[in-house]
Amino acid sequence: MKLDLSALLPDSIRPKAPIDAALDDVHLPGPTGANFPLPDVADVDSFERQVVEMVKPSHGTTTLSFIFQGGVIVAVDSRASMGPYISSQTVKKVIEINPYLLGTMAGGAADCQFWQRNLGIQCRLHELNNKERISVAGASKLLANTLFSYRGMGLSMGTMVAGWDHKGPSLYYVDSEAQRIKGERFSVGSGSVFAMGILDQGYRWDLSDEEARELGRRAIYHATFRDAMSGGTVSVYHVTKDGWVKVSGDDVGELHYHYYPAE
Amino acid sequence: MRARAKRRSNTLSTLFSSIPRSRCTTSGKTSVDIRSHHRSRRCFSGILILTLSYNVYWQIRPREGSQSRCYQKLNNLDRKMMLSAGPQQHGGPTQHASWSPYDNNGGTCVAVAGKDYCVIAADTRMSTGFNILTRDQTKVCKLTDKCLIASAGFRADAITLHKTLQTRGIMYKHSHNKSMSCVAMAQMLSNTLYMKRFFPYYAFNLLGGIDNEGKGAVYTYDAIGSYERTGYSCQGSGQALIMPILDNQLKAVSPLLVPPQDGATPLTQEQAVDLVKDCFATAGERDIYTGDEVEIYVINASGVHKQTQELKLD
Amino acid sequence: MIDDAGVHVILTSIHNSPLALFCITFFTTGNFVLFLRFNYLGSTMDCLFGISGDGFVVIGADTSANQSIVRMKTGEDKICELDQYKLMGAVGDGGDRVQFTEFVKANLSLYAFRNGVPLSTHAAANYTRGELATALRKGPYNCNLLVAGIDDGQPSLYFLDYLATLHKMNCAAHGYCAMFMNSLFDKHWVPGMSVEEVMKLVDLGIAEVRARLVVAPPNFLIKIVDKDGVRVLAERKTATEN
Repeated sequence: MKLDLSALLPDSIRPKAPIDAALDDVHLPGPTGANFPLPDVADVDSFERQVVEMVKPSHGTTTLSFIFQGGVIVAVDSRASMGPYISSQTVKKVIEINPYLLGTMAGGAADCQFWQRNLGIQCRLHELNNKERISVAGASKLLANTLFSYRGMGLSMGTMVAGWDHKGPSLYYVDSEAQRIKGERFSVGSGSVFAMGILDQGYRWDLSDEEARELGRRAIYHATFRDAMSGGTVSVYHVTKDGWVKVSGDDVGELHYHYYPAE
Repeated sequence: MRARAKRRSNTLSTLFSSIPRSRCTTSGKTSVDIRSHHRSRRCFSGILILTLSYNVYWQIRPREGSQSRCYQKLNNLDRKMMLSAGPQQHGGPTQHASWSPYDNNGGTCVAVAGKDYCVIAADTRMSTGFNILTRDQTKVCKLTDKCLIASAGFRADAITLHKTLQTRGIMYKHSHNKSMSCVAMAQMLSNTLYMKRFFPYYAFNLLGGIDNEGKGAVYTYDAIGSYERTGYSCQGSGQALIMPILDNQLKAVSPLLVPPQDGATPLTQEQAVDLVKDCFATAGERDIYTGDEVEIYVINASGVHKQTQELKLD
Repeated sequence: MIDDAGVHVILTSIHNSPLALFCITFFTTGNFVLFLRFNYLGSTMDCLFGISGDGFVVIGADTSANQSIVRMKTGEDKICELDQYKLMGAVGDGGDRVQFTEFVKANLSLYAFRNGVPLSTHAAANYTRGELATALRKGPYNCNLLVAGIDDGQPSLYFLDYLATLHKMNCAAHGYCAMFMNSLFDKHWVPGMSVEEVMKLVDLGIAEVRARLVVAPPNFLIKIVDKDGVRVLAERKTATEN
């Protein structure tokens, strides 16, 4: 039996047997993304627009993250909506890339899930190659570079990469336009403007751990209250030099009566 | 007037089909290639939109006076015409302007997971527009001994997807000498869907089965691969009718709560099957795309068991 | 031949495109379509300007990183120090700006490393133009640039836009702020200005932008390149950084 090495040849010179074409769908994606078939249409742009109309991918979110003296706080809601329909109230919008690195999801749920998972793979490969954990700057750059190569294709992502590395806590915002910004506090998603109001006025560098967690929780709660596309459960993560811990997960209904007890 | 417009549009698609089309390649230079591929088309997209609207204007205005109608029509035609395929890639004639790669065949799928079982069910009606094409098209496909998939939406895409998953399941079994676990199958389905990110399968999927610990598992997806493990879910045309019933009957605490609480559905297998039957009977009353018959598969330690229930035929 | 409705539909379809980089206006006569392309609005919100003086060049830019209507950050440095005697200011889409400036900077460093001598400002500007022009027909970078440097004590400033138009200028600006600043530069610029005089002109420009531009950025960073190399010259802030 002849060993098929045709996969090693560049696509341009590889002869495409019908059976290969048929197997295209069966090939699994490699570690650094893969071959995304494009529709054979004259105008990809409007096709993609119509696809969004038809498929209505899940989206809508409030996420926030900030650095303070005690580390990094990451807080998110858990709702996903497809148009006006709430497709899930239990989405996990914080991706645990490794014990020291977290990513958040806003935008298209599938885009975020896939590419953050892909980022997890790339970070693990970096670890295996270099015998040390990847820095937050490095991880966010990997993601930004990946997204840069798909810029203009209609991906929709607004993510924060937060974690603790050899330089201490750090936080980056990366989006599908491949914008990558280092900062000390960000909020992303449809409810981000509401969360930002609470966050900006309550933020100080020297917040205590408990104050910081409460600030994150409170900001997300207020965003779920004002933004119809945010809701469900408020999850708060805290990253310290010992890695991340999930410090709370509260139903927003419970939180409401916690903040505003019924008479 | 109409004939004239049609002739023009055909000329146009022929004209634009002669635009060179680079192929999108794998790995390595992927990014660059995809982009150049994409941009080279974009350069012409504006032309197509503009010229199209000119034609459509001609075609529609004399017959339909209202502006909103004109918009609607334009969007519709816009879409269909842009999907016209080029001759040199297919070796055939240019596709007709009114061609679209997608249809919606309707139908509903429901899955409920229990402590040691999983119920997955779907109706067997297949429609297009207001026509019922058949009353016995199954939407459920067995992937492994412990894992079934049910798909609503576009039947052709669903079939392709099911066959792809089955094939991969077999390849996995040959190379690992064990069946793919339900959890692995769930992740693979997500990847398979995402691989078609820019030309999605128009299928809305539910994956049901027994996980490695023997617990029931339901995975619910959007069309491009976002997925989540839940206790119960519903997809398809009856989703908005059935999901509230399931929420009402089965809603469990969120798995995101800290400290965590068990989210398994507290129903016995028989109760779960009855609930599913009720759901379909209810949806059949109000959804024109759900009816005829529902196939209910129960997956538990003793294997996969099928039963059916009649629904209204009208 | 196209009535209002037709025009509206077309514009809507273009605006709706998440991918639309260009606004397209058009005139039609029968089947002939003529295009005019305008710069993408997003990048024109940014401010970038440069003024050359006696033995130095000053480049200023705003420091905002925006995402739709939200200012995500007000401490972003948009003026890249290419080497000890070269500055490159860049404004445009977030990803494009960073990717392109990093790319150029890396290649200039590589050239200097290989040959033991750096490119002149003129050569660097033309190299940058070449890369931008090549990319324009494949996957364009949507960013506008100013390249400034000192060669043998001689200052030079180059204007380079996203379509790869390169021109050597005494003073230049990009984006909406150019509309307010260019006239001031035209009126006040004279050969052989001192740093103080140039900074006065810069402040005049910034004041005008802040007074008249609806979407004026709050903070500005001004860098200088002269015989002593590149460094930050001044900051003009109205908002606290985050």
